[in-house]
Amino acid sequence: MNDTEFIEKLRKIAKIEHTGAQKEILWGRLYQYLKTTKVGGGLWYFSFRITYLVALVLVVLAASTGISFASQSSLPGEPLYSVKRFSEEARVFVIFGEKAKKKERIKLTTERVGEVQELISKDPEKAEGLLSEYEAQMENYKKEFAEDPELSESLNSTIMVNKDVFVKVVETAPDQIKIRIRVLIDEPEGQDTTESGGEVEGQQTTKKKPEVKSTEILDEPSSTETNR
Amino acid sequence: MANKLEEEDLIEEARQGNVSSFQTLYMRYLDPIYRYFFFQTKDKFLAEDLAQEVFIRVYRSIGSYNKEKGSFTSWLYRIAHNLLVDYYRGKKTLSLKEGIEASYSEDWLEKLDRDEKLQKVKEALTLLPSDYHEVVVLRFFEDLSVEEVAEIVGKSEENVRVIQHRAIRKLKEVIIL
Repeated sequence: MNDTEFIEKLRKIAKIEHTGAQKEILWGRLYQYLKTTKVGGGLWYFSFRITYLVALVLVVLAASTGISFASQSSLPGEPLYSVKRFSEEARVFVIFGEKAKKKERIKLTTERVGEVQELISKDPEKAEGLLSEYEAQMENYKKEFAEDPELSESLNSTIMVNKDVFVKVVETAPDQIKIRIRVLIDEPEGQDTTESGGEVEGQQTTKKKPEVKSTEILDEPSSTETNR
Repeated sequence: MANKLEEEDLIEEARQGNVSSFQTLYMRYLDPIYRYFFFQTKDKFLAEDLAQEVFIRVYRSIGSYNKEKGSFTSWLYRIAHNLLVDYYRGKKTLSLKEGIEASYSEDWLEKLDRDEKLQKVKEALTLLPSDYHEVVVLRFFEDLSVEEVAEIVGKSEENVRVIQHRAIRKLKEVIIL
């Protein structure tokens, strides 16, 4: 047996893989740890806060010159759209209290739906992209807020408002997103329809977990972990 | 190429705090990182704890990852390498409680123990000098390039080539596949 064949055999023998269920359990443990651990005191976090403060100042300055205001009606692909998204983030950032922040994020989904409505006739491809963003956000929010009656209620009312917009646009929507909009219209509020059910052993899973904001995810890198 | 681009997107999203993207990276790299520790520690439980610790470190420091300085894979293994070094020097206690809430079914553990060929490979590795283990795992089991392995283990590419040549010669002597 030559070296290549030998190595190939070795590789096959050494290919230990977790089952999908095991990965989910391990991820669950890790996620619980990360969620409950304060990892926000590090250098990166500090620089992140500084970045946001600078951004906030910029947004305030921009607002004073009318740029921020003008950006509010902008759509993806337009020059002021990034200003709009930035000012949304800044708005969430300055809100006091985690629950209030979450409520504001829920409200912002209506903004995305409004943009989908605008883009459906102008740029269906961008509308499709926004719709994907909306679907992913809703999937995350439904899971994240399921245990909180107040947030669930807020989410459900927003979904109803969003549905009204979808009902208006569904007939004129291009075929590639029409079906997805219909699903969103028909979907009951507060019900998570994203679970796939049975797990296939050994298959990589990509079920999404609640989104955690940047402030919760990152911490100071240790000296041993940075790129060399 | 598409996969590479997708991974770059995932990393970028994770850097921005998107847990779903981080989870996808976790699901993708858990097995290779687990194997890396398993074949070096020969302990399936410790390997799990160390693998989890790697992802805690990644989670905390992904903001410092710079793709210009090397691939994500190399960076990830470099964290694993540093962790193992720290662990053996007794410097590192693990963040997650060790040995609690074992995530493995009895079947899976038994399967690992019963796999005779796997046991042979594990035993054969013990016959190699300890600094060969890492090169064998990364080069042969995980199919990383010589350049990547050299970067991770902190040796020259020439040195890695020599080690892999000697290792394969020795392994062929002691394992009959």
